[in-house]
Parts: sequence; C-alpha cells; structure tokens
Amino acid sequence: MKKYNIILGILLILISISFSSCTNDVVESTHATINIPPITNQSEALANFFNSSGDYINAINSPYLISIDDVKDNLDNYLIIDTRYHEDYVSGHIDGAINVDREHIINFLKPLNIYQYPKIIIVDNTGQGASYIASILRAMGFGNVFPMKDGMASWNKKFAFHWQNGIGDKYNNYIDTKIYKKAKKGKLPTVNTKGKTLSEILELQAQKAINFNYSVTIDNLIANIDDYYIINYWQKAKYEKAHLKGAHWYEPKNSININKDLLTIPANKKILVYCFTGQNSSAITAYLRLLGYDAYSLRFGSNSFMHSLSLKNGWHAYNAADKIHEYPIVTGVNPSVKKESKANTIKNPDLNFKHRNVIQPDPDEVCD
Amino acid sequence: MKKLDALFVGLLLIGSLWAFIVNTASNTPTNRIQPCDIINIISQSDKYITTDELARRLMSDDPTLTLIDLRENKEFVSYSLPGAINIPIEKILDNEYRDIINQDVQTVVFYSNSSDLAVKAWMLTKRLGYKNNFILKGGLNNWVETILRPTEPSETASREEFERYNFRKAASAYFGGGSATGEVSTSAPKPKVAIKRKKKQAAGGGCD
Amino acid sequence: MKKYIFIYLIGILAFSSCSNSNKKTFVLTPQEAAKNAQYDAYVISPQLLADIYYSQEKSSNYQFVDLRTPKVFENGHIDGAINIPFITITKNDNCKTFLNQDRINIIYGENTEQTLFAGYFLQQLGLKNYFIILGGYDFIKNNIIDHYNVYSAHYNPEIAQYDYAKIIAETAGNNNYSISTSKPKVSAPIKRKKKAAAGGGCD
Repeated sequence: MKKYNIILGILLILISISFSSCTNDVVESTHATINIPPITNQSEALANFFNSSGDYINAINSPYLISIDDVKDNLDNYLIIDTRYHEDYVSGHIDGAINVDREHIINFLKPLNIYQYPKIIIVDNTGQGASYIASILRAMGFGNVFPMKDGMASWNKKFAFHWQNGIGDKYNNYIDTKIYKKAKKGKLPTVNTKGKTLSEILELQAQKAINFNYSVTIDNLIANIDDYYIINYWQKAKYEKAHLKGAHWYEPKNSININKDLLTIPANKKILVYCFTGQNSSAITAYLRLLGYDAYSLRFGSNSFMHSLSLKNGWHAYNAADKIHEYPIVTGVNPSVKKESKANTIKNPDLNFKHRNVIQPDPDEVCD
Repeated sequence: MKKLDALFVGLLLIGSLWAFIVNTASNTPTNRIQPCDIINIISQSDKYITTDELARRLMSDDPTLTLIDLRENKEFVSYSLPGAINIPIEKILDNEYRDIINQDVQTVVFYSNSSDLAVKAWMLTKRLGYKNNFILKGGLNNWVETILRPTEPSETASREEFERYNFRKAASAYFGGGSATGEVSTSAPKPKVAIKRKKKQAAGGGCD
Repeated sequence: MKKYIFIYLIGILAFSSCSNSNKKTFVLTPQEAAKNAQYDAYVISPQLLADIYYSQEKSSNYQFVDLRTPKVFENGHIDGAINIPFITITKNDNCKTFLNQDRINIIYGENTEQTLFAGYFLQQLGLKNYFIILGGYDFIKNNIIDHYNVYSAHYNPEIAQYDYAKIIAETAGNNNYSISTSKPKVSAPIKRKKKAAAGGGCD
C-alpha cells in the first residue's frame, strides 16, 4: 500500500506541474528577428534584383521624363525638388519647388510619405542630372519619381543658356558609319560595400553614385577617347547612318540587362554612354554605376558634336523655338510666394542642412 | 484498508481541486471567448461597412449610426467624420466608453486612417461579445479616394459604375466645402440626448 | 483502488484542455491587447521583404505563410510559402506551426485586414515569432516583387495619406446642399460617464 501511496503522490505532483506549466509556455522575450544570410556577390545580386523586380531601366517609359507643361499644369499636386545650386535656386525657381542638394535627396525622401504626391519631380538645369538622380531613386524603389525634361533651361529663357551652350558641330570629323562589334562577354564589376542585405548595398551604392560627377564634355571625351568603351544608345537604323567613332550599338530599352548584353560591357574600362540629349544616357549611366561600372554620360549627347546633322535628320536636335518657354519663376529662398503653399511648410529636419558651397573650377565640368 | 481508501480519495480530491485552481487562475476570467471561437467569428461575420454605405447613411442623417474615431486626439481635431466620437484605441475598452460601444440599438462604426486600428478595436469588442460593431473599410484614406475625390470611370465602364460615380460626386459635394472642420463645429449644437438602451427610439437625435 | 485512479485520470482529461499542447488560450486580456494595439514592430517593410526575397540563399529561420484559400494559393504565391487558410489557424497542425518557436513565420493574406486580424490574434496569444506583410498578396506581388517601387517610410497604411482638412477645404460645396448649417458636429472627444450620448443625429 505504501508503494501505492508514493506512486499516487508522484502522479499528483506531475499532474499539477503539467497543469500549471502549460499556460506559461509563452516565450517571454523581445520580438523575434529575421536573419538573412549576407550577400557575397554584391553586383550579381543587384543585377539580378534589377532584372527580376521590374527591370525599370528597360521599361517602356524609361527614363520617365515628364514634360514641363505637365509640371506647369500640376504645380499644386506634384512635389517639385530643385537639385541645382542654392545660388541658382535663389535666382529663380518654379513656384513651390524645394531646394534639396543631390547628396541629401535620399535622406530627404526617406522619411517622407512620397505616395501622398501623385508624382515627385526632379528639376535641374538641363534634364540630364535629373534623369541621373531619378534613375538612382527608381532603382531604390521610389516609384513615383520623374525627371523634368530639358530642365530649367526650357522652363524659362533666363536659364536657356545652359542648353544653348551645349550644342555644337566642332567634331564633325569624328562622325563614323563603321559598325563596331560589342566586346566579348565578361564578368560584372566587383561591388564591395559594407552592406549585408540587398537594400543596404543598394542604398550605399546609390549614395555613392548620386554624388559622382558622371558627365563628360565632348572636348574631354575626344581628348581621351581611347580610354573609353563607347556605348551608342539609340535605334539601330540611326546608328548605321551616323555615330561617334568607335561607338558600339546597344539596343535601347532592351540590351542593358544581365540576361542580354550587359556582360559585354567591360568591367575594367571607363564606359561612356551617349544618346541624343544626354537624358537617356544619364539614366543608363546611373544604372551602370549602381552595378559598379565606371560609367560616364556624354553631356548633351549628339547635340554636342553633330547638332546640324541631327537637325537635318530630325534626331532630337535642340531647337530654341520649341524648347524655350517663359513660364513664371519665383526668386528668393522661399519655395513659394503663396504663403499657404504646402511647399513652404514641409517639415523635415533634412531641410535644415547647410547648402553646399559653389566650388566650380570649370562650370562645364560640373554636371547638372 | 477503508481508512487508506478514504485517504486516497481525499488526496485525489485535493489534488484535482488544486490542479483545477491553478489551471483556471492563470486563465483570466475575461477570456470568455476562446481563440478558436474568435477565428470563426472573424471569418463568418459581417465586419465591414463600405465608404459608400457610410456616406449614404450620413447623408440621410441616420440616427442609429455611431461613429468612433480611434485616432489620437490631435488627428481627430484636425479632421474627423461628421458626428464622430473620439476614443483613442488604447482607451477603447475603458469603462467610461462601454455604453457607447456595447449596445444593440446603434450601429457602431470604427475608423482610423486605414483599417488597422478599426480591425483591432473590432476584434477586441468581439472577444467581449459585443454586437453591432463595424469596420470602415480602408478608413479615412479610402474615404478620400472614393468619396471626397472620386475618380471618373472610363467610358467603357458599366452603368452601375457610373451610377456609383454620380453618387460619389454628390457625396463629395455634401461632405466638402470646409463643413467638417473643428472650427465650424463649435457653433453647432452638441448632441445632448443620452442613449437609454432597450427603449424605442433611443438613438441620440432630435436636436434643433 | 484502480477504479479511483481511473476516475481520476478521466477527470484530468476532462480538465486538461491545455495539456494538449496545440490548444492555446489568450495570454493578453482584451484590455491589455488594447494598450498594445499601436505596437507595430512586427510589420515587415517592403525593403526587408525584398532583402529576404532576393537574398541569394534562403535562410532556414523563416517561413512565409499564406492565409488565403487553397484555390487562390495554387494560382500563385510567394516562393516557398506554405498555405494556412485563415479559418484553419487554430486547427491542430497549423497551430503547431505558429507555436514552433524555432522559426519565424512571415504572414500575408488576401488583404491588409485579413493579415492584421491574424497578426493581432497571434499577438494576443502572446507569440513573438511572427511578422506580417501588409497590403495583401496582389499588392505585394505588383509593388514589391514584380515591380519594386515601394520605398516610403509610410508604407504602413495607418499613416494619413492625405491632408484631410485641406482636401475638405478644397472640395467645393455644391449648391444643392447647404452644408455648414445643417450638419451635426462633435468637436472634441466626448467623455461621458455611464450614460453616453450618441454622436450626431441633430438636424
């Protein structure tokens, strides 16, 4: 009987323990965290990511240029970000435009609820820098960013000189019809950021690229033309008719992709991309820079060395009569003259940064 | 032997009682509805009220409608739906509001900027067994998109879509025009009639 | 003697709704849960989802869980997701999945509401090994996976997307309605004891 006693006693204890313990099986700790294995091949991860998450650079409306008329009609709806030097901004800007230097633009947009605006417009002098910045932002996932076509040079004649100074026919002797074969497929460049996950790597690359002086004038290019692997980024029929000496044809909105011709671009050489106005090529340059290429864009594209021929062929040649407008500008540091304007009240700590000083050894060297 | 038997029985009884107490004590008494029940309730009940439906009821001055704004007071003051009562989500189960939320005469509609807080409030009240509570689907963001700023249907759209659009346009005019700001409301009479539950026509109405 | 033990065991089984490890009771009371309602640390940002989805190797410490019905699940789902239809969350095997603390469940559903219900449910069970993705499958597919274009700190829809007061001011009142005089308003939060008034209803 004593045995029974003991067995029963143990049983009772066990049962009570099982009862009282089962409701306490909650893990009392902080919320779980997700471990993602760090990325080893960063450029490959980026290229695959760009390809499988929409391939924004080859989308039908890439590089997402928006006309100045569209901007003018939607001043109250769009958020307009003016990326020019503060001095230029003060001397005249679109009503409601906020001045944010390009190195601050990512941090400016990050805390913002960007989708409260139907579109976010990036403005610069010529549209080329805006394309470059917008391309980087789009790659990061800012899906409603648009560069303003032809920049402030088109908005108001006060700034028209930015574009007018860019056109020329000085290097007619570099126009060529010979077809140059693409290089053999190689490897992607090496990207070595401190980032572990895709978004970290992307942001570090973006921050690095957005500050880079990526544009090359035709004079500089011709002086060092052998240093560059030149990419012609326009239609094949036009390439066959005329292009820059040594330029390789890459099909627009198709070829620059990891599964197409991307790997034919040499990873160990300077890359120069050009198109008609420098706006498409700026977007491509940004894309290549994110992947680790040492890429540059030809300022003002074909307009800078074969303007007359472009005009004759109807190839997006700069034409003052069509391009220059006299839309209103606002002077001073305030975004808008209208006191109640939303832009005047945008609260963001990043707006309190000091604007960078204008250091311009050669105005032509600085990209817009 | 008999004594021993009795001892065993006694021990067993005490043991079971203890186990039972331990088991129920850690179960707080408010848990009347168990996890599996709440999943069934969520899946099976009619939870949502659409912005169109809400607009229709507001425009007809439906007296059986109680709107609960679950956002912070600051947000509530800057904009709220007509006639809404502000009960921030963390206070939703406070005793002082129980009579507003737990009732069967009024239709109680929870809303916040999206469905988020309303979903949570709804689930909590269901755990307590309250009835007649609804979630404004999509919250205020959706209210803006559908009622205040309706988008015109394409030309190929069905007749119903056009009818809905026409209704929304009328609703937009009804709710627009600065009518719902806090400033205007200070001059408007505040509802004073308290609800007495289980009575006919108990809803708060009939001022002016 | 054996009889007694037998009876006792039956009694235990009757009580032991809990010794069956698949059954859970709420750990948070509704009141406690209300205090926690604003806590949204378990919401996964689009960036983090992209990080997870596009990482070169899949980690073994997380698992996507799809709350939609098996039929739509078959038509398309996030790679590697398992299907636990919302209605079956508390069923034995599924419950085990959520209780398994060795792994993190990343939950998404048909829409934001369904996902929120599931997330808030698990929170009230006291679980901490889950995350939720807002927006529903179609949104996730279109805006994060197929086209990565959600980079906004305000992905959480609970943030006001509009300046409501401004929109109201902009939306012109129509002549058909004399609005400002006819609408009932409640300006401040009403705090009433016991006898509560309904909001509105005047004319």
